[in-house]
Amino acid sequence: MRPKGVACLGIATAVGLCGCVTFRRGELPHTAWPVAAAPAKHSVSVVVAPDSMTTNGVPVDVPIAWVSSAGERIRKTYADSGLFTALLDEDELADLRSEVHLSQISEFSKPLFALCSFTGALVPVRGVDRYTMRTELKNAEGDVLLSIERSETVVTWVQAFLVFAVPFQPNMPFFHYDVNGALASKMGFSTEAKRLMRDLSRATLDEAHAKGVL
Amino acid sequence: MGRLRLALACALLSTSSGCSVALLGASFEPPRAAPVSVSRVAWLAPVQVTDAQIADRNDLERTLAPLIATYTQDAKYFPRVNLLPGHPADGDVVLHFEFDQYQLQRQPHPAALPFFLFGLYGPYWAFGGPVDRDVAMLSGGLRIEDSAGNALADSRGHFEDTHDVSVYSMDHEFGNSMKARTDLVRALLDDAVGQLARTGATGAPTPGSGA
Repeated sequence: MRPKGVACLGIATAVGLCGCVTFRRGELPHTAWPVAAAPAKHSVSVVVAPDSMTTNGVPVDVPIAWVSSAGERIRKTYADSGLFTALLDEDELADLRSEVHLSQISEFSKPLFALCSFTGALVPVRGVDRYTMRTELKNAEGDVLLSIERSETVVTWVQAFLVFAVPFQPNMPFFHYDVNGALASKMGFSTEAKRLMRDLSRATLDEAHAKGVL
Repeated sequence: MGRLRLALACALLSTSSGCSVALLGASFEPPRAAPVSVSRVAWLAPVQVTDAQIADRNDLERTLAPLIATYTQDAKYFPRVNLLPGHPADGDVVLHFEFDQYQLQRQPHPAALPFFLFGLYGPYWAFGGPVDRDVAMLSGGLRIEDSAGNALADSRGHFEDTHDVSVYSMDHEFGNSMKARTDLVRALLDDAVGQLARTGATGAPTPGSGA
């Protein structure tokens, strides 16, 4: 391929990656943070597992890096909550074990996606991702004390010229895709996905606190 | 965010580079009903991955443990499966999974090579492919012990799965070794739980610890 062709392809790739806008549907309630009102009484360990991940109804073999990135953000939220005396590793015996089951259902039009790819993101395409976090709080005997489910839907539009709308998105960093970080580290979480994990965890802890389990 | 943008990024990058990478996963296919079940509470010990070629073994082990526990419980091998650490009662059993091979390799599909060599991958991809061939190779074992640490059953197995990957399938972006993984874990459970049932060590349901 000639240098000019390579440059054009590079520019199309860069524009295609940046020309996206993402917004949430706002299903999560507002959570006052940090939640803690009473002194913490329990230590906790957090286990994160992908429950089911599908794209257009087809199950996806969830990459390890995806789960690790989500787990890292969820554990940080637990640590910041002030609801626990300590956040222990999974192989340590804590007063409470929080088993966090994540699911993601993604839908988008495959023909439009193909057109979008082949035209360098000139043809727009929309994707909808529904994230669900089901948390089971268990004691050391393995009994389930509380089960909480929280969901949020995220809509993404991809089109090359949406690159101009990117800076105006609320609560979003300029670059959604940290190509050097997320993609190159084999599909870790993007910054906004980490924020979503944080907000789902906050809503979960808020509900557990309100129900008197924590 | 979202798989759409991930897929787009992968498609654009792989179009420009002509290659793609299969990512290692930990998911399982939906469980089939267990051919034999044991009415004891099971505890899953931390999963061991000893494959030296895996860079982030800790992450893999941590991800696999709850997924194997969920699979085992949903397939109804045991009425309840908990994760260790915890307090196993007398009569409970402890499952020790270990994987000494956990590989997913992506190779160019032989039928695609002539197209790539002559720079014709554009029209070839217009029809989807196959462009790659994924080979999943897994081997491992399951040891079942009682709460005192005495071995009750032991099983080992090896599974391979080879499948072609089209540029339009989600396997192209993420890789997929679910089938080999599920086959291996199911075979280990069938065998080891079968041994447990045959030796008569089915035990009695522990009071207050049923499903």
